Amino acid sequence: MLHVALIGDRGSGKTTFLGLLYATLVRSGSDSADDLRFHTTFESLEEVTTLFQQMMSGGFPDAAVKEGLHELSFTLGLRKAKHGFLPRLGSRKWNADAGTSLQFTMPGSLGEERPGFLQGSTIGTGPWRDVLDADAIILLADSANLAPKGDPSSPGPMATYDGQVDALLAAIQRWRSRSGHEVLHPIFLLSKFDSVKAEVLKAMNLEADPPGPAEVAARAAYAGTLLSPNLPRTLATVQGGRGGRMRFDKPTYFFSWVRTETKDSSASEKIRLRRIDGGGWEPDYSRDEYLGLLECLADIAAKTKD
Amino acid sequence: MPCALLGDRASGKTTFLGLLYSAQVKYGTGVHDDFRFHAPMASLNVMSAVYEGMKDARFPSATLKEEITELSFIFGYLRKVQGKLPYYIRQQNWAKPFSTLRFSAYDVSGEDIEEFIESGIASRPLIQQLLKSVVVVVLVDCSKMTTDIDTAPYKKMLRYDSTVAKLLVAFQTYKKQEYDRLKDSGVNPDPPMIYPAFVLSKFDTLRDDVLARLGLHQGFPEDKRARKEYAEALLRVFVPQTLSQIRGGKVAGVSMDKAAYFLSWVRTETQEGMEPVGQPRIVRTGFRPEGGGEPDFSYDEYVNFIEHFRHIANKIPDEILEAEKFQAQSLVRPN
Repeated sequence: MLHVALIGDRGSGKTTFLGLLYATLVRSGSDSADDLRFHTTFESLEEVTTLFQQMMSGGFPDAAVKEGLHELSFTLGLRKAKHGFLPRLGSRKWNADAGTSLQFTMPGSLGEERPGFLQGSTIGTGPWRDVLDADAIILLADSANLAPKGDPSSPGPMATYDGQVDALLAAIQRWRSRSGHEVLHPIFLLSKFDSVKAEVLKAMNLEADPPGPAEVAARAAYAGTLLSPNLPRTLATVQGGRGGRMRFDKPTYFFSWVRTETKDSSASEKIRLRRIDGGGWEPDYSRDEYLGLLECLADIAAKTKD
Repeated sequence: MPCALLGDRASGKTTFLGLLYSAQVKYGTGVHDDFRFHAPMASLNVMSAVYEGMKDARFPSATLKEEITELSFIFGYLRKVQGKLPYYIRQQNWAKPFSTLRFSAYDVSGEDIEEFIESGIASRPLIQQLLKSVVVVVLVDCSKMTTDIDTAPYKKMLRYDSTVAKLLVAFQTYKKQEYDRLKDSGVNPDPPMIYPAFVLSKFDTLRDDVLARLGLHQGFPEDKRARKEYAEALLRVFVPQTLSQIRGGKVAGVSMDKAAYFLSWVRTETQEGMEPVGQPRIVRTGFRPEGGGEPDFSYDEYVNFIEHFRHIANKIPDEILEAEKFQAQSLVRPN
């Protein structure tokens, strides 16, 4: 099983991320011609189906769902297009061996909860314990808080979060200094990317839309430009590669957004739903990014197995 | 063979069973004579009351619905080879002319299901029986299909989708655990399999604007492949979680791919230009040589449904058939 830790600041969109990930799975695995299959564990379903209902009704996750959802586990099967002679021959069948088990752990908000091991304790407990042993770590960066390169002496809006994530990564390195997985796969997810301020992009001389998933290097450069003034310590640690026995794999970057609408000025924001081929609906969100993320996780799982 | 019948409140579960019984009566007494059925006394009492009511143009009453917890029928299908034997040989018991199948439908209350879903523990015997089901019949109420996402029916359908998806995953999990347990104990069981069957109930109430929005024509196609595509086009929109969990069964080691699709409707009396007052009344067919005075319903679909089980009967794993045989023997010899 691939253990994925989901780390984010308060209000950075962790629960929404899991909801959109589940919506991607549902939408991409319901047709016989689809190249994706998934099976959610019974334990995860209660919360995530409630979340799905809320989002498909245009609502953002409510407090009860946020409180209850700490884990999402599912088996994922992905079929990649093959090239060359006889493409896909023998690859049409699905079976249990084709699946990869994924477990997302969402221990809480870094700003609110101080795990014991960040306060000097050498014993990891509770959901934070799973973070220490994770194969991959998804670090959410709330794009609404991104700031352009400013005065190095004054801390930016994400400085505290940056320090907390850096401390967490250092704790993971310490934890694995003698045993445990030798590689940690870092994934940066720039959440609420439709909220990134225009002046930030302008100051950094960046386009409004990030390069597509296929342009790996350009994408990394784009995300790196945005993140380096905001999460400098985290980036330095991750890009530093090895810290003792454990090493960080090359980071990957994804962008998440979901369009919203307000029916009148007094009402709260609602998720905008869009029509899809065949007549259904789904949240108006960055679906391709989520599909790319699932592929990336499947690749990591394959590497981890090896 | 236990069969779970899942349906939302007022989705037409009892009407479905009543119409299934009507179809069994008609199909089992036809000239063709290759299908027989038997119902135990308890089931017969309820079903005959429902049947009588329907022949009297009435839908099942709420009191009758409450009486149902388990209904079972034994379906008998004439074996192909035996069908060609002379009549007097076919009638001999030693010839075993019919392959039989026990169809049990459980009507479990919403509270029982919710309790099971929340706790994950099947404490009630009925839920335990339900989890052993090899066939899962899911009723999807077409009258609740709407493209207006701000309405109560849309939200009800979303909730129903979640509930069915959770139940299907519970079935899959149970089957997989049973399979692993048997394997660990040295038995070589067949890979676990569940046969889902979707019944689009109240199909005559499906609104034209919904069909138009989904790019579907009126009327259910007859061709098997076209039927599947048509039904899935509807289900992908209204019960996407259920459909995706069915598809995903294989990656979890429990195949649920062989879903079958049926529709159910029963014609009700309408007066030109007027809304019916009170409980709608069932339209009954006129008398003809092959019968009459029966509810005017999608009889052919119900026959397809009965025939669907003929195919499943041949694929039921040995351990389930053995367990049924053992259960039947213990009922005959209680001590």
